[in-house]
Amino acid sequence: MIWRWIILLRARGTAISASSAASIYLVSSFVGGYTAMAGDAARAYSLSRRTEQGSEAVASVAVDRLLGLLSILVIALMGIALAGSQMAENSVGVFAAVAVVLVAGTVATLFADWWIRIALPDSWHHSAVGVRALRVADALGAYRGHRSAIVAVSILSIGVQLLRVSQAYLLGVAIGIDVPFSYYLLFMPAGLIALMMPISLAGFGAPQGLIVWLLQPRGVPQADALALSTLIVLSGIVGQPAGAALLFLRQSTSR
Amino acid sequence: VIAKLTRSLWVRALLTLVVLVLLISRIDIRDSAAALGRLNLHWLASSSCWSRPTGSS
Repeated sequence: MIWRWIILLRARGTAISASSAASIYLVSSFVGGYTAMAGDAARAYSLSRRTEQGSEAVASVAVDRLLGLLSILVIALMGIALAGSQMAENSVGVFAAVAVVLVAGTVATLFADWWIRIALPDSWHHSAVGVRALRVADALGAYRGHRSAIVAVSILSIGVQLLRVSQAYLLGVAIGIDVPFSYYLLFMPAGLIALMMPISLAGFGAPQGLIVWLLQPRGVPQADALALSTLIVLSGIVGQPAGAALLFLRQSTSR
Repeated sequence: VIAKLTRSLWVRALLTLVVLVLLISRIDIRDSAAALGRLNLHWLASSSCWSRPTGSS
């Protein structure tokens, strides 16, 4: 996940070492309260302070996150191809709506420099807010010229999400939940998106409720589903102490 | 930024607490604990988890 971001930063020539980028990533994930979106804000802020290239920092984090969401969509498509018949009828419409929003969002992000000039009134182009918005839009649009980086990050993202789904499947099997891997491909994308949203603390609560609900059609006892969701959340927390340690070290050395 | 995140953390903490209370009120937590107790770490750590259909060893 860190390497994905480094590929994007290097594609745009952002002057930062891999170790510094990794440090920012880990600390931001910890400071962000274990939620991807809050961590993203902290990551963009930390990088912009380090490099003084605010627009490039925001663009790199936004493109990284969008490609991550698109890779979850790819996993969901795999799940539909393999286990689509197990989907509830009303969930097909929800999935289609989410897919359209994600694809449209990605296209809009990569072409932000085009549409923002049309959408923004001319009189705003030279205002402080307008200049800032145009800079970020230009930085986002610049990624269209780095197709190899976009492809590499997309492949890495799909690999990461497949690993997370496999991890959930193996944890499920390890506590005796008898659900095929294809169903994990179907329901885990929703769980992964819920884990990213700023609606819980460290993934406890609402994402767990969603996983319990999504496992019900397969006849998984609620207690087992809650245990599995707890293990999924706990396994996501395992990597967080590295960020806490780096933050502690940074504060100790700055005193 | 950290101050803003901390403020939103309180909201998220409250939401997390409410959902957890709802889940625990509907699900027997002892059964969940028993399911967690079944976690077969030895099987997970071994390469056989890729070839065997269940976690029971």
